[in-house]
Amino acid sequence: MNFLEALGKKTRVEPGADFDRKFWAKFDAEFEPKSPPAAQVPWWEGIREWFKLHPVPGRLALTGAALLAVLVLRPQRDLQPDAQPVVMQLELLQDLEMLEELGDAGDITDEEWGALLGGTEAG
Amino acid sequence: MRHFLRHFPFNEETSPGVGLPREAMDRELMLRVRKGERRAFEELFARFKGPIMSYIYRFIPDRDRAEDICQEVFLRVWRARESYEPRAKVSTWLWTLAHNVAIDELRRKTEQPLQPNEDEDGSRIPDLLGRIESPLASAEEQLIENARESSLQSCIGKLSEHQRDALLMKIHAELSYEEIAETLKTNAGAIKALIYRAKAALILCLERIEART
Repeated sequence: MNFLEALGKKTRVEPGADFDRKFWAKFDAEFEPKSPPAAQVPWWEGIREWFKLHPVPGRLALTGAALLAVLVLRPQRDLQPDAQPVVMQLELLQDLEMLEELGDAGDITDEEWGALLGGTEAG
Repeated sequence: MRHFLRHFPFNEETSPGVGLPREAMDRELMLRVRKGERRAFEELFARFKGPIMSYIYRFIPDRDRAEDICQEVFLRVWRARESYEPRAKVSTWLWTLAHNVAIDELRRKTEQPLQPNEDEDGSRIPDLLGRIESPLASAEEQLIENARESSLQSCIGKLSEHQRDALLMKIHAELSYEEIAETLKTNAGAIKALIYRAKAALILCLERIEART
């Protein structure tokens, strides 16, 4: 046996019994993530969880939201019948414009008007 | 290394075959560690924890602290795994890390810079290798065999920083003189001289303790 072999045998030191457990605990603490990052959980999961935990306030909130939706949407629906007079007013304006054009048509005698109207009525 | 690789070519992506030399197996293992395989790291840890613990304990003879430092070496291995260069020898890379951690700890402890390298290249000592590796005389073998742990630790502690480093690395790391020189940033001749002087000092120290008891 040479010096290096003899000394190597004599100076070898084995780590203690708890060495591995301590090391892997340190390793896991530094490198192993404990839970998935928040970004991986869908956003609605949080809301669903809240409704599970608070059923009564949850139903109240849903009812409130429904009422609010009715209040917001109802005036829009009520506005629709008012649109009808606006259409009628537009038609009246178109008729007046037509009459103006007829007025510009030149000097038409009463007889001619009579013939025209009578012809229209007859036609 | 190049010579070795010429004789044992293998694909980096294949798993190690049966009967591969240890160096090739270590390299294959380290390539898997580099990819982040925990299982491979567990194997590396199991293989090197004993030698690295033995090396560190002789620098810092306090078991709890030595274990903490040894664990820090392996945490650094994992942190730095991607810096491992496949052409490098695993044990050289690993022992460089172990050496750096041990030296950092010693510097922190003593808060003093290391002494400059001893001016030894070994050229003035004839047949250095023979003097280091020749079989021990039976009296010297007995001396080491019967040395108490406290005596051994005390005598190793009296060696110079560089003598102790080179000697312990040669004993525990299974590196060649050239590889130790690469790790400790010196030349192989200086390493042989350091180990030769460490041997002489250690035997003298143990003989003195033996003579007193």
